[in-house]
Amino acid sequence: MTTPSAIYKHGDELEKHFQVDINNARYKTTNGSTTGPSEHVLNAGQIDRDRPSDPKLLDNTESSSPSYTPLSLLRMQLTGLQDDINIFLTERMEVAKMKKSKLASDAEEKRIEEEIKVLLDGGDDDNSETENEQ
Amino acid sequence: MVNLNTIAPKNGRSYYIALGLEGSANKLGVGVIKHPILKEQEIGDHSHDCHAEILSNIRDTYTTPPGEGFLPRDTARHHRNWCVRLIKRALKEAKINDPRLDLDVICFTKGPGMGAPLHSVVIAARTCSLLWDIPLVRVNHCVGHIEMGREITKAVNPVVLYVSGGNTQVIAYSENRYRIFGETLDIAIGNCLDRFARTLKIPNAPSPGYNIEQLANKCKNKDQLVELPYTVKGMDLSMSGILAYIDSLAKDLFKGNKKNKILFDTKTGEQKVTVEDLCYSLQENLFAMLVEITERAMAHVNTSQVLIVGGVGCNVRLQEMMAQMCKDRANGQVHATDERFCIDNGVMIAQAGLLQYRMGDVVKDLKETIVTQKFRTDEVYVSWRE
Amino acid sequence: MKNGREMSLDYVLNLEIPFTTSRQAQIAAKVLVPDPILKPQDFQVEYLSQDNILAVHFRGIDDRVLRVGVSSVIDSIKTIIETIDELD
Repeated sequence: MTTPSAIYKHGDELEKHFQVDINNARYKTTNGSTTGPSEHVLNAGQIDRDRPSDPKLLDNTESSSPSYTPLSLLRMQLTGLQDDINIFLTERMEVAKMKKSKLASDAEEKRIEEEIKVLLDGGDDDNSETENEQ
Repeated sequence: MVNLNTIAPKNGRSYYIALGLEGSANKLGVGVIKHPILKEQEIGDHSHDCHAEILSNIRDTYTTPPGEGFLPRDTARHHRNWCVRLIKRALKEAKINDPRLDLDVICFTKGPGMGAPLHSVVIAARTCSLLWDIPLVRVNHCVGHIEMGREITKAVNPVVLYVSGGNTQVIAYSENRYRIFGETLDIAIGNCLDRFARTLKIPNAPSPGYNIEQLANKCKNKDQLVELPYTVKGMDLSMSGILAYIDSLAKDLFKGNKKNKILFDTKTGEQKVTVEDLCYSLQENLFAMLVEITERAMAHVNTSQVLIVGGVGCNVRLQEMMAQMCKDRANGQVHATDERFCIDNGVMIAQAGLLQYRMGDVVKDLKETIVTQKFRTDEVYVSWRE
Repeated sequence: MKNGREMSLDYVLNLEIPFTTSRQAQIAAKVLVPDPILKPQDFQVEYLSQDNILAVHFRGIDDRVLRVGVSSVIDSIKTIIETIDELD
């Protein structure tokens, strides 16, 4: 079975390929390193009990060497690939920020932070204070 | 005339089965409900008495450390990561072996609520619908509360007081709409209580204002209310000013600010008011405001029934005060549900959604399933009532 | 279609997800297509299913919008995979 993959491009200057290495442990978990709880709750002492579900075992699998359904393998591989992409793009953001920070004012930085927050929270316009439904 | 039996149940069954998915706030709920075909439902409005059988009602709550609010992105992550497991459990408990044959409809919350958590759930709902070839019905969260409350209490045409962490509305049915008679102009009552709880550094679980209620019960000066602003404005009410005022009193109390003559005796410096007194007074004041606008709505629509729904609806003192008002009016009745149903759940979405389905309201294009943070109760056309 | 602003979406990521059947890839595309993009002038997504492959084409004005947008779509794809895996 083929594995998920991605290609990143920015103009002519950069092209980066993302591939899954099926023997690497990072493509054998459903629990990604970049998709955990937010810093906000972790700093407040949150214990994460909301991790993704475990992969699904094949019906006749041996417990000594478990094998998983093809879709569970895909989900784990995609989880690793998502981490790779997230880490790469975060690094690229840092680089862009360093370049920009010499020029950009604090206000600009703040605006960008706000925009990221809006994107992460799906455009919910309220803050956590007012969102305590139930 | 309303006929709830025009759409036949799938697979030649004599009953309908609906799966309901709710995730508009920090509760993720999945429920399965069954309606038998009833002869009387062909000839008129029996939507409050479907003989509904609850086959499963599973809920999991996203919680944060005490004193912390919850972010949409973390709540969405909770729903995303638990949704499939909860659907599996709900189907198993309901003994649904083959959803393709055993389910008529999948109902999900379209709004109102937090966008990101709603979206997490609708992704699973759409996938199930395509996988099993079962239609979707989009449900307004508030209408879900109302229909579940009516079915459980058998209240035919009550004035509905919807009180939760995100909503405060007085609603009455008229001409195929649940019309909002009055509502909060700023924050919701559950939010007001929860934010005061945070000032007192007490937890918010399990439902909004629960721990305030427990402290209020310990108040020893129930005949000496601390005077708070009373802010009913026509049919609406405002609570942010009350919150700011009582917050400042609580802070003065913690600081021991003896200059505050509401809290301390100016001559002796003796403390006159306790935290419990503040909780009691806050509840009495807010609930009196709710009772006032509810009573006015009852007079408007000429009904003697009140149905209280939403998480704050679990509050026993609110139920008592409402009952007193109803008793003073000619033989009124208060209907309330317990925490299984007044706190957000999947069954209420299945109940309202199944009524919609039986009236022929299904999603025809997945574009219609886009979730929305704002979705007013009176936007829904209530086809299942006369 | 392409106006000046769209032309500037030159941060690109192409993702390919091999499902086990073409039906699964089609379901995934149908589930993902309806949702609107918050800021279409800054970010665009296209979904295509061909045989068993779901191809997702992302374009953004910078790495920042790509970082948030791509991860959020992958989150949804993981939910779709899990749903089919556990409930089909």
